[in-house]
Formats: sequence, structure tokens, C-alpha cells
Amino acid sequence: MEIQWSLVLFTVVSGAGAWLFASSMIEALAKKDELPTKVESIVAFVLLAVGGCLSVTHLKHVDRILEALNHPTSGIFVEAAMIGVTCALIAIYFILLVRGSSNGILTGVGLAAAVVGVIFTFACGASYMMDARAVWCTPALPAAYGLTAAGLGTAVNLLMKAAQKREAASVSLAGLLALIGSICGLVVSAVFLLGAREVVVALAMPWTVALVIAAVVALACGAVAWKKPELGLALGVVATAGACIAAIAMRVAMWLVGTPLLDFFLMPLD
Amino acid sequence: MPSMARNCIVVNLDRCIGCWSCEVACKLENDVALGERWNKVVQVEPFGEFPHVSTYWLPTMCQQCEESPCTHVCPTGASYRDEQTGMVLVNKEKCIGCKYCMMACPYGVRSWNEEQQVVEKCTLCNHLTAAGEKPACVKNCCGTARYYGDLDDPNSDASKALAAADADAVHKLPDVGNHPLTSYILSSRFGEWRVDDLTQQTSKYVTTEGSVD
Repeated sequence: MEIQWSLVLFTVVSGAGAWLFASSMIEALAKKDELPTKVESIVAFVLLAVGGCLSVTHLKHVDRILEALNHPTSGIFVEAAMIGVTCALIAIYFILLVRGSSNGILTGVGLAAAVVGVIFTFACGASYMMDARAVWCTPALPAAYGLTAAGLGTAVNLLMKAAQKREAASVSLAGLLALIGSICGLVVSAVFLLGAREVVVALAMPWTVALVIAAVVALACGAVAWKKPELGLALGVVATAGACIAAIAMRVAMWLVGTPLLDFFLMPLD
Repeated sequence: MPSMARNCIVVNLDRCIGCWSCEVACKLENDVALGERWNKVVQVEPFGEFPHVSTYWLPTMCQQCEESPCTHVCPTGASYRDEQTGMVLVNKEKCIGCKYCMMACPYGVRSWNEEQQVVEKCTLCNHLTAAGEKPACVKNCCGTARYYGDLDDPNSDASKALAAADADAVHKLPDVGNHPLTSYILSSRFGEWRVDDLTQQTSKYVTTEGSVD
């Protein structure tokens, strides 16, 4: 079926923001760096907000968007609510950071933002688990959505840590997180696409190849940055590009293989 | 509180001659634009080994699912099941055009209104049926192959048609938990029900064993 670029970019961009903040929180909890900085909070917030705006570009009546509050069990409502809550929590975190609040309060708010944001990235994929499209109706789909976003968010975190000239231990852990994120993203994407291998071979082979190559590049950069944090900036740029291509390719492949049970009217969705 | 009615269309494929009158009547009655449709007759191509070859026409439209996935995924409640009639309907004033319902429909029988930028579908001609009339496709069927009514009312045309048919001649489209209400009657002497193993080729459908030209 047709690729819905608005929705592809929405989940990639907002997912990167959610996982960037979460990665930075993980580093702080591991005591390898401070809590997420102002710059990291702003970048995470902007990515989430831009992603949210991209999601509405596929709607034909944005003027009626408040109607979406009428049906709280739908996937779109859940996604909108979670992205809104994550943005609000990051905004509160930022204000507390500027006002010099205690580490305990910052950790609590930051942790809440990270958890809601991470769950949001999986919820984006769960919205597509429809019985009408058998290939999509597997837990591997939300896992692939969440973990390819993890690959990208952790790569952006590596880039941010290196660009801010954080200590070697912090950049090294960021490299390790990028490595783990990309491996997990690649593995679950492979599980999802292997479950539909006949359709994938017929309809989405170039994107699947792009996904594998890009994810391998990203994980290789993460591995090198883990051991050689002094190369973090260059590796962060390449890892971000690779993880971004991998996340996009997984979603494009998903759309291409999402054929319905029967399609009597043959109505295009674009 | 009274239970929800189960209004739907029943189609007797033994009587369908593939004239497309239902499609035309639907378009005229509901002012459905060119390229859009609420009702479509697809041909299940000839299959089998000569001389035992069969074919049939399959009129398709909203199957009025009891567990309608389209209403479950709609973010605004624009797609809903009417509490009185049980009909699956679209409130176009609420539709934001996200097309999730079109993705969720197992049969691809929802239509996109290009001019109004909203999703539409068969309404069972509720403007007519509310006044006691029959839907346009039923009224204009040359072969008297379509029946409308509440399946919980044994005196409805739909219930009577099903009661008169052999149990093994009554079929439904594949059910993935959505429980379609629409039934199709196809007796084995007219053809073999092959919807479960159809491969789609544009507007025509062939069985997995292929078409006979």
C-alpha cells in the first residue's frame, strides 16, 4: 500500500526526541554524566513537537482536531496524549532546571518524562496492529517502532554528548547505548520483516536492504565510540544518519507490505 | 434498554446476474462521485476444470460488522454504530480525514470523498429505510437478489431469505473477529464459494488455482 510519509516522519522524529531524553537520563542514573542539560532538553522537546506537527499534516481537516478528544481508546488519541504529556514533563523539567531545583525533584520529573516518552514510541507501532492487515498484527511491529526509535535517539544522544564536549566516560557510555539501541532495532525489525518475508521480497526488498546496511553502520559507529570516545563527534554524525535511515526504512517497508485481507474498492490511501 | 438491531443486506448469488444495477442505483441515490463507490460488484473469475467451470458475481459493500474495526480505531467517533438501527455510519462533520478506518476495514469497502475530504460508506440508505422504504440497491436489483432487514426480526426480508436457503449455501466474507452481518447465499449447484482463497487482480478475483480463460 501507499507510503504515508507524514506518519513515517512523525514517528521517526518524535521517537528520536523521546529516546534522546531517555538516553541522557540513563547516563545520569548510571552516574556517567549529569542530568539532561538545557540543550538536550530543548532538542528533545523540539523533536517531539516537530514530530507531533508532522503527524497532523496527513489529516484533511486539522480544524476538527479537537474532535479527537471524543474517543479516548483510539490509537491516535493515545499517541496524542502521550506526546503531549512527554512534552509537558520535559518543559516542567526544563523550568525546574533553570530555577536550580534539587537533583531529587529533577530526577523524578525527568524519569517520568523518559518513561512516558519511551512508552509512546512503542504505542505508535501498536496503533497499526489491525486484524485487517495480518502482516502488521504482531507484537514485533510496536517493538520495531520503539527500538528503531531507540537506535536513533541513542545515536543523537552520542552526537549531543560529543558536541557538548562531555567527559570521555559519558561519550563512551553514549556509544555503548547507541550500539545497543541499533542492535535491538535491527533485531526486532528483522523479526517483523521475516514474519512477512514473502511480501517483503515482493514489495519492499530495497528498503529492507537499506535498513540492514544503515543499522549496521549505526551500530558500528556506536561500538567504535564506546572504545574511542575521542572520535565521538564524527561517529555521532554518521550513527545519527545511519539510525535515521534505518528507522525510516523500517517504517516504509511496513507501509509497503501492509496489504489488507481483501481490498474490494481499491481506494488509494494517499 | 432495547438491544441494538442487526440491519444488513443479504445477497442471493444464485439470483445475481452481474448487471451492476445495484452499483448504478447506489451512485444515483447517494450522489456518489465518479471514481468513488459505496457498492461494487466484483467478478470471481471462472475457475475449475472444463466442463466443470463456474463463476459468480460478488456484490460488495459495508458488511455491517458487529465488532466493527472501523469504529474502534476512529479517533473522533465519526465512525459509529447507531444505537437504534445498529447501522455502521459516518458522521462526516466529525471526520478529520485520517483514513484509519479505511486501513482497519478488512474488506476495503470504505470510500474517500475527494470533494469533501472525508470518508464515506454504504449507509444502508438510512434516509430511505427510516421512512420504511428499501435501500436503492435492493429496490433496483433486476434479479431480486438483494434483501434488506433486521436479522433479529424473523419477518424481515433478510431473515426470510436466509431461512429459505440451505444452511450450507449461506456464506460470509472471511471473519477476522469483526463478525460481518452480511450473508451471501450461493448453492453448490451454481458455484463453489471461494472467497477464502481469492487472489486479487485489479478489479477481478481469481482463485488460487487460477483463472480459466
